[in-house]
Amino acid sequence: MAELVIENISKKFMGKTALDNVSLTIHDKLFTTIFGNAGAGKTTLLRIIAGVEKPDKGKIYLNGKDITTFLPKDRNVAMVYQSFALYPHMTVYDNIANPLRARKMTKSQIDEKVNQISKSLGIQELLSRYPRELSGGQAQRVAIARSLVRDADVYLLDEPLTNLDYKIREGMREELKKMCKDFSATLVYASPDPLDALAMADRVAVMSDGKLLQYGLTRDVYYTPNDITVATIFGTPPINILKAEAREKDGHLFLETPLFRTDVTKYKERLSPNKEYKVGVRPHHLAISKRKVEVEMVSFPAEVHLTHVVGAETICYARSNSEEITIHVPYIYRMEGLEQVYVYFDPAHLLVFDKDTGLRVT
Amino acid sequence: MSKITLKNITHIYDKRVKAVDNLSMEVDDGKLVALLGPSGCGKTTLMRIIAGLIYPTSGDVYFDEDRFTDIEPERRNVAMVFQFPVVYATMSVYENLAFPLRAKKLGEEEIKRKVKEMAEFLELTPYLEMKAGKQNAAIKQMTSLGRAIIRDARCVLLDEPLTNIDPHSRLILREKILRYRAEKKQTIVYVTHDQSEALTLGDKIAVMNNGILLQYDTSRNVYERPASSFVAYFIGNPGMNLIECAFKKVGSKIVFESDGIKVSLPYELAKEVEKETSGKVVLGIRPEHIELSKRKVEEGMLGTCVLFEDIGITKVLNLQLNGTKVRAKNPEFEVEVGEKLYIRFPEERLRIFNSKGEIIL
Repeated sequence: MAELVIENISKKFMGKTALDNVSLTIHDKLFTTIFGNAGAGKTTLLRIIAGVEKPDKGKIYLNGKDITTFLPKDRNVAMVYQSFALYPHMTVYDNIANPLRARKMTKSQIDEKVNQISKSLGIQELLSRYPRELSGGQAQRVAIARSLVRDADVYLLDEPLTNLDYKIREGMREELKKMCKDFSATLVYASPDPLDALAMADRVAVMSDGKLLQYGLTRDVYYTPNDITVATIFGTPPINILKAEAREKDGHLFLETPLFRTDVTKYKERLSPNKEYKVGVRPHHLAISKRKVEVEMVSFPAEVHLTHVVGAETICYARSNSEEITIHVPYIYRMEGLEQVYVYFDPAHLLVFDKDTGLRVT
Repeated sequence: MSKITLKNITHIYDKRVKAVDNLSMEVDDGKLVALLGPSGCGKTTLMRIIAGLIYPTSGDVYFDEDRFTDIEPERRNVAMVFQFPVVYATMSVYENLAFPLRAKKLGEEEIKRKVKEMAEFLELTPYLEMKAGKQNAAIKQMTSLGRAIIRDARCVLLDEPLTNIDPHSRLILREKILRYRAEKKQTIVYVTHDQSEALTLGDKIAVMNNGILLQYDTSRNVYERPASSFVAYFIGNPGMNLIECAFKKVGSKIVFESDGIKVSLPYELAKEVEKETSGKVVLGIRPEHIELSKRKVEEGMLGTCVLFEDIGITKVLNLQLNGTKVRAKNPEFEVEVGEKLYIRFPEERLRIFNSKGEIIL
């Protein structure tokens, strides 16, 4: 059982705000991601939970007990850092087994645990090597294994996958999620990569400039962001944002952008005519076609000028009426020079934000 | 701008760890080759051998037709950019860019012109007078790239240049590299563990693992016809599903079976597998090529969805077919964990590897 309550936590470093009145409850046995760009306050929050940093204000409760003033060693919280050193004179096996030996486990128990974690991290063939014989990515995995091998109420992971190979990251994401389920572990995972949260997290907390912007089920946060900041930072490639203006005509309400016009009469309660807004549509909600097709969708012409193949998907960069648009398609799209295309999307995927407050209107 | 030829390169560290294993390849003049593989595969070692920073245990390095194995790095005229940006911290960005030109004893006017041109191209103009050490990682890396390419080197070696910079700057830098390549027709070797960088940038891709060159081919071919089961797994996100199967001839078909899996292919198409004396092969199917249905379909195998992730662009499903786990990807499909599904592997999408992991079909 582990329920972690973070209550009104604030922290300044040399007069600069790192955390600004952050409150959230981390639920037992769930995978929670703290998402935000560099400088958002993720690491500070994790360090306060671990007890290596003291908050200026606020309290931390673990299972109802106020642990704000507890020393790190009295919290039973395990922290995995972005990078930390291995013992150079010990083999990989001994490095991983070290925290278990300190806990006086039997040899066969240790063996089982070390093998299990090594297998899941793909390092079982490296067990007899010394740290100097490992590549950077391999050493990182050993360090992760050493932190995860021990039992703790809460595991805090600070961007542990950042320096890892893409392929290892992919496997690790699945492994961490499985570990959270299989061992009923409570994981708090800080990351600047939206994909980490989307692929693993039950819940996500989006942070920016020391503030908690939104906290909820991962899919809810992704599809219904509170405001334009959450929409922009939580998604990769970033959401397309355009200026828009609401206009009334023949009893219908339309949103006009430099690229398209769409009927938003059904939202007329929430939108005012002749008012400016910002609209957002995620790159993967856009589709492209080389020919114009008649469908019940919004469409506009564009010129694709750059493509990036990512696995079996393609990110296309296009220009239309001086606007830069990103389109993410779930197949491999090979471009022969500049290509004129039509871009389509279902208007149901359009997010509308207030131009001044940034809050989501629809 | 030279052609690079590597002949039977082997490198062993500490007489114990074989980093590069009898590797031969050619990089044609003016082409960009992406050297792709997991960390520890030997790609950085190979790069350093080309630059002359490591002397190989055996084998030779040629630029065009000349053997350079014994030539020291300073005399190879090879430009290199590393994963962690290297700049002269106390010098201005301008002086950093001018440095290789001063070493070549160019006139002040020419230096000024070249630096200005490079700064323009890399969007470094606003930073020219600032100290390089005070800039963020992206500007520093842009500066080290500029310094590497400002002189006309024989070839340019880039060792994971984008790994340590933020995603937005990564895209900009990637576009710069592509444009530089297109304009200058420079020979570039680009080391990366990131398949998307490799697939996007490389004219050809060299996939390495355990010091061995597994495949050297176009991006289309490494994706569609991976030479080995490792390449099949490594390319793609997630990689190809690999399922060990027994096979037997039944009438005009060959039937492949494993716990929960049963697939058949026409005998004429798949008869090559009969050469496999172990009686077992590995069936490969990409997650994005698996067909899913909630209703019964012909040749559909029954499975249960055990994991469902909505990652925006697509949905990733883990499917349990009796004892076999398979990953599928589908942009549209919505399903609850625990739900039963019918799963089909389209014949034309199947790949078959022998027990050594080499492709047969």
